[in-house]
Amino acid sequence: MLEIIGLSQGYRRKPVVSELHIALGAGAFGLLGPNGAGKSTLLRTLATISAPGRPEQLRLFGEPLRTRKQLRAARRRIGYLPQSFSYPPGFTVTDFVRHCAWLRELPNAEIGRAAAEAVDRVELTEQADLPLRKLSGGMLRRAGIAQAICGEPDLIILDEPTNGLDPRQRVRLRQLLRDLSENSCVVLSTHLVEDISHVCARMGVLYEGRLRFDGTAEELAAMGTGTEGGDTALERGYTAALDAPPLVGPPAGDVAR
Amino acid sequence: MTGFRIELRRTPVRWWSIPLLAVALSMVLFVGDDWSVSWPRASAAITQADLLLMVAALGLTAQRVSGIHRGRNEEILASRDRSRLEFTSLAADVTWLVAVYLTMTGIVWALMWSRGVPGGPWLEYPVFGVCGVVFAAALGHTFGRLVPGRFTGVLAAVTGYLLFLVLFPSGESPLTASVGYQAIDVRLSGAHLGWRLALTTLTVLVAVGAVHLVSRDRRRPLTALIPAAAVLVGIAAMPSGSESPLVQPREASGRACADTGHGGEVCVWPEHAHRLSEATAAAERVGEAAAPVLPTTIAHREHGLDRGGVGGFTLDHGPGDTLATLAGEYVDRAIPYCADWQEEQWGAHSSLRLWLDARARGLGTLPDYNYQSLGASSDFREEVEETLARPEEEQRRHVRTWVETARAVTC
Repeated sequence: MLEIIGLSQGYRRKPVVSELHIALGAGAFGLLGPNGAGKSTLLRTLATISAPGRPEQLRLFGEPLRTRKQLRAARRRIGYLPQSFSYPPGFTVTDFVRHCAWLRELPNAEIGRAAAEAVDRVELTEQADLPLRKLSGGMLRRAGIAQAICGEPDLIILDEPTNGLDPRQRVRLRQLLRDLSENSCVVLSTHLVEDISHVCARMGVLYEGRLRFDGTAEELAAMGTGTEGGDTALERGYTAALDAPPLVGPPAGDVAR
Repeated sequence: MTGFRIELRRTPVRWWSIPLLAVALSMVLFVGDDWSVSWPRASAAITQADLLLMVAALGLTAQRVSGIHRGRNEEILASRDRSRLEFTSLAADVTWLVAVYLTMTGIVWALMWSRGVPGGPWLEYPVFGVCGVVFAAALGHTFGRLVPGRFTGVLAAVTGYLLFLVLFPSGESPLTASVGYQAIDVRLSGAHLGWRLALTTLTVLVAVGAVHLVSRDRRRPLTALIPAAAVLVGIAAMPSGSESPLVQPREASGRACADTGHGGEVCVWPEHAHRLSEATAAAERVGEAAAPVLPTTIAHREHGLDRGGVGGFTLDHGPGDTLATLAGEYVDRAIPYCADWQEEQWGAHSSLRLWLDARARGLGTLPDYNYQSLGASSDFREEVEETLARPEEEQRRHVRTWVETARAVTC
């Protein structure tokens, strides 16, 4: 579904992501890493917002994005929640999600049902007719998630989806992501190791633009030797992964379910 | 249509449509002369609100586009072409603004139809006005996209006001916001309207392409740059200046005529058919006043009807002006101008015009009127006033000397 082959990405000649190799199918993939590691840049590239250095570095749904037609076809199948997103403040939650579905060219006949379902799945039904400017930070985040999952796209990319959510909402979001990953490829980034460990069968650690780890939660936990900082085995494994040498070469295979 | 319907329902411009309609209608109904006397004037009268609506369109669309919460935020992923999205947003704004314009136009036309004024609406004026509103909205959209900020709307409105008043003055530029007074013998220039349509189309293309200049996805900057260059070239090349006026003389498709009762005739434009009796009565008054000294079989024509737009009387500036222009035309027709005339003949001719105007009004003195515009010097005025003060018979004798003086030199 998604294949990154030697992706390098940067801004103003400053490399942000270097020599990445990842291949993903249906399932959830969690991306961990400290601030400035290149997570958002990578997700933006996967979401086709930023073009890769060369078209062949990114293959989505089996083909590289060389033409506008290919790009457009790929975007129809992607749901993307940016770290922070622009929105017309007068739009209600429903209109916003419907509008985003229309932007992604969901068939007109399906937009109403898909938007209502997405709003319901993030538990914003009671706020569906409120303008976005009146929502709290957490509600706005959920509205963003709703637009990303509307119509259950094949590839769902969520950049820090749990930001601003209370613990109860985080738990419910995890369940939602587990459900979505049954049929879709869900890629999410976060600083919170525990969020990922409960949702993602496979995870990666990105540091200084290079992938330092790619495997399961158990494998990450096993990386820790006990001398690193962290309260749990997973945190210690994460800390150890940051010091690990960059992974090179193509991935071993698709995501393990 | 889903996107358009949502944009239409959510654009803040919709809240402004009612107050804008109220102000625009007030400007048309209560500001300026009475335009309800003819369809040409009523058609042009709706453009009295153009400046207001164009400035409002510029400010509102700029504010709406820049009002989308951005900062360092990202745009939502879209598979639809970004230009199409921009077009949808602009179309929603324009729909509300044009609805205001067309509602105002409909009200004016309904008033005219209810009064039974002959003729029908001139469609090029609403096209001209709507075009201006779309042009301004597209300009505002571009402005808001390129210069987003808290005060973008106000800044755009002020810039637009200066732009339309100074850079595109009325009466000359195809992009002007004001047509001005609509005489019955002229019509909006097709060339100017064509330029306005073309520049508006190009500006819409700039507006929908401008997003490619500012988004992270700068894959197609030429989408905006090429039409922007074309707009600039178009503005530089468009007809402008006093030698290419916004309105052009028009051909009469017919005329409404009546006899004056003295063997003369009065003809007016078809759109003034309902005012023919008014013109005939005035012509008869002039004919009666002239009868003792000049022939009475004069064929009067409203200004612009025949004669290549030269001479003729006018009906649009009140009964006094109608009498003055009829008197002038009367003398001009009875004693045509001659290039060989000396100052003596010119003076006699001018005196005759002034005298006949005063007599037609039934006054014993000259009316309060700007005679300088008729080319009459103060010497002639004094002489005419002295003549008007004389007894009837003596007055006629003196006026006949003017007639003889003017006719002494013929071409």
